[in-house]
Amino acid sequence: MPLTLTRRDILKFVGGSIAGIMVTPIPWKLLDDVSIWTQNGPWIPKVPRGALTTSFSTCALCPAGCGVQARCVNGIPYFLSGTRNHPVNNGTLCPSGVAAHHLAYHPLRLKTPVQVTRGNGTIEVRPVSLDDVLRKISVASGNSTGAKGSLALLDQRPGRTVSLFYRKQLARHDHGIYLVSPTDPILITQCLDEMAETPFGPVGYHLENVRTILSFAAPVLDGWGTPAQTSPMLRTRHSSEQNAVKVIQIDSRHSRSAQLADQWIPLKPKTEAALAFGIAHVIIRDGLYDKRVIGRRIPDFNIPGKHSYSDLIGRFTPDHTSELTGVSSDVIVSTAHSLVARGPSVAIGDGDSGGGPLGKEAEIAIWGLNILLGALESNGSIVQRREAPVPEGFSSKELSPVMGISAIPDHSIGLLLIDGSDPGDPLPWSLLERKLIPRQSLVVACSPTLTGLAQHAQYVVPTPAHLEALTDIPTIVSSATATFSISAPLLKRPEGMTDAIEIMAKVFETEGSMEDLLKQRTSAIFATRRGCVFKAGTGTTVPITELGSPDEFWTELTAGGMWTDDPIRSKPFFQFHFMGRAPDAYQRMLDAGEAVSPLDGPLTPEMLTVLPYGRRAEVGGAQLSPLMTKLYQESGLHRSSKVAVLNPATAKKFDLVHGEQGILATACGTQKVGIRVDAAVMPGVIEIAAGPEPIGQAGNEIVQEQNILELIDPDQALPWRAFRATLRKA
Amino acid sequence: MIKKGSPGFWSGFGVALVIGWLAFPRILYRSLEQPVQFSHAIHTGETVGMTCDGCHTFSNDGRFAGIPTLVQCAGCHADVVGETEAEEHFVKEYIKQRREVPWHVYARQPDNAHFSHADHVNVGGIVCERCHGSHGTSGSLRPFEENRISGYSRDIWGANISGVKSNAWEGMKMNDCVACHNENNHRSACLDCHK
Repeated sequence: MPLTLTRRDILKFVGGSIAGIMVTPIPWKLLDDVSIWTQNGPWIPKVPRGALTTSFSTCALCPAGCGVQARCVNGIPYFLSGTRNHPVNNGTLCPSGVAAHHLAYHPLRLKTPVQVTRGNGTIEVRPVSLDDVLRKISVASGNSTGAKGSLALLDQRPGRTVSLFYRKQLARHDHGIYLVSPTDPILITQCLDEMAETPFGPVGYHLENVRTILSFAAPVLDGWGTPAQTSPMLRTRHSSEQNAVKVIQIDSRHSRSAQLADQWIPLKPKTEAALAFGIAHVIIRDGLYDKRVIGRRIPDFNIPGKHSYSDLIGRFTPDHTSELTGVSSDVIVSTAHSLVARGPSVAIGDGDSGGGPLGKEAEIAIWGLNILLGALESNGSIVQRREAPVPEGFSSKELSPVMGISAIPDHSIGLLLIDGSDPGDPLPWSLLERKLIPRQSLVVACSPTLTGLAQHAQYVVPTPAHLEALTDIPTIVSSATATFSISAPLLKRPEGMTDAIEIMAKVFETEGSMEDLLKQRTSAIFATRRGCVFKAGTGTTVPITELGSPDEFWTELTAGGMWTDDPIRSKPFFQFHFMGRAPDAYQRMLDAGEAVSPLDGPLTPEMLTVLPYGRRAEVGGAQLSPLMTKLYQESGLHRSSKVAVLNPATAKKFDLVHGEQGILATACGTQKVGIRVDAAVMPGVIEIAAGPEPIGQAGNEIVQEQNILELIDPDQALPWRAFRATLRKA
Repeated sequence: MIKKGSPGFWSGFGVALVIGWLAFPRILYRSLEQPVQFSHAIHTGETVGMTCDGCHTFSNDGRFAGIPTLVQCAGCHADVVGETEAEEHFVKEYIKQRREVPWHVYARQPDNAHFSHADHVNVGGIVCERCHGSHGTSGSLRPFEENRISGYSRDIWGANISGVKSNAWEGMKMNDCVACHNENNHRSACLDCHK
């Protein structure tokens, strides 16, 4: 029979084939394979194949200094996790730490020294040689020894061994200034020294001894202490167990610590000193303190015929304090009683690093509360601790004093050097700028990326990135004993990177190498034969006496180990001045307590109060992997620094709508922000994060960093913690 | 109505089935011989008497060493052992030249998936055969069938192109991991595997 093919037959055949194909694996398997291919295409960077090894180091991103275990391919870290049994983090690691090996590949990473020119919203950089930068520094340094200004070095991570080196060199300089951020714990501890009859020295916290923590805006449950300290508190919060730690968070914001705390006491911004006095008033009025101790140790508690602490506190009745702070008098009374009944208790000042300092008087008021609560007694929760031993030639007498920004006269700095290789506490540029001699000062920053204060420098010298640099981790403020660990490089540094110490050594015409300096420090610690050493490789802790030599100690520390000092057992007798020892202490403390919150101040109707916030060492960019946008930008779990959050009533009053864009303005400039509405925000207030913020590449153009701290007006009274701004629709 | 003797709907349907089920898998996968022939059976049999973890070791930190490196093989095979051609080739081409064997790994997972042998074997108590089948007793290494598109081994998808599994150890895709976790009441989060 002849085969006759019609057009209809062919169409039927094709139709049958298509139908048949659909019941074969072809479309479905191809779909699966092609989708996998899109993940593995030639344009996707590949993880190198090679020998798998495990290395250990210490994270230097924040002051905690967590132990890090890195899995490496061909020696390159590709997966970070916490070191098990490490005294600081006990095997855990925060999201920033987990992704910290991305930072060496940050798009804003500098490859050569650059000259920086700020334009309209953008930054232009021009590569220069290191010799050019050093020549400029040399000229400016020569000027700064004369009448043209002083030489200041801003250390963004004070307390490191290299910080001692800087202070020593600056002490030899006629006009040398060692500058730190006003929120640095060193300055906060200095407030206690101002109260003590003899210098008290560094302090630490025995949080395991504590049953009640009264936090004045310190992020106690969100990065203030180490993970090993915070984890037990988080586990037992809201627990009915008798010894469970109770956290009372005093905070103008519904911060993460406020959310996690057992009790949140919202107060009007900048009224922390008044609330501390109000609580102290109730403790004294109701006789809830140890009268024998206070009478013996506090010379200014009650001085007949003179203004004394009891006079000062007498003014802060619960009702008056309530008017000042917005906290009800019942809460003030019950908090005071709870602190005493549920002791041992401790009050923690320190504030929120990105939110700015509480202020010297507020810190003194909080230390006073601690003395009343017995926290500084021999069995108390605040302990004196030693510093980790230092090499010869680095005693405090040979070092330049630590200075805050307020102690420096305006227009006095001729040469400003910034060590931003390890970001720590923030310092708004506007506060720093007014200390410079206009149009004459030279600002040079050492930083791995063009972010933060480096964006304001005229020259930036690139330093090794995280996990490329060798640096040490000083003792965190919350630790009861001194600790010392080393962040050893896990990555080879690229050509052209220079350690900040090498630049500073050239400026001061001396020799300086980070490795030599740290070896001197470890030898000095080893020589005391004090304390114990955690070994990362085995996860065990042994007495330092079991190590045979300083070299063995160095090897352990550079392999992710950590030294912990012995606690001080005996405690000398101390006398404290509750108001500090300054002649005008009473008036200053009274003024601080009676200060009117910006919310009650003479605001123009269109003005709002901005409350910035941000954790220590995480303010600004480049501390986060640029890939962490899910957590920090898209999910809203961590609010971006480009988002302003308002109370619904405030938003309605100012005709602002959730999800829209707004323009935030102060005398120092404007920023575009997204508007979010949250009922937990105080009316009349704008909450906005000062960081951290993952920064991605913005084409070939470097965009000026948007950070709320850039808008701070130094001419406002108490410019930082809460400042005024307008917010309108974009 | 289909005309008798003309290629109609069912002819097309049948041709598609033949291409889809028989020809397509042969086109999709290309067969690669392993660079060295290796008998698990000899090593784990009575003559040598080794166990899986004799070569596929866990280090002190709990990390799984994966496929043994040349150093481990050289412990016994510094010189030719036995008379097979494969042994001679291995010693001459790799041991003597200190060259690692570029094995084609049947179980290689994507770079974005993290699998901990330590967690599954040491903590979970799962035996090697649960995922690797009878590979540990095989007399020779079968060819590595590489997916021309995705680049992965056929073992990841499973032997049957339809995706139907005849054995518990067939398939190593995410769905297989999730199914096993569900069977054993282990809740999984994305970041457990995707670091």
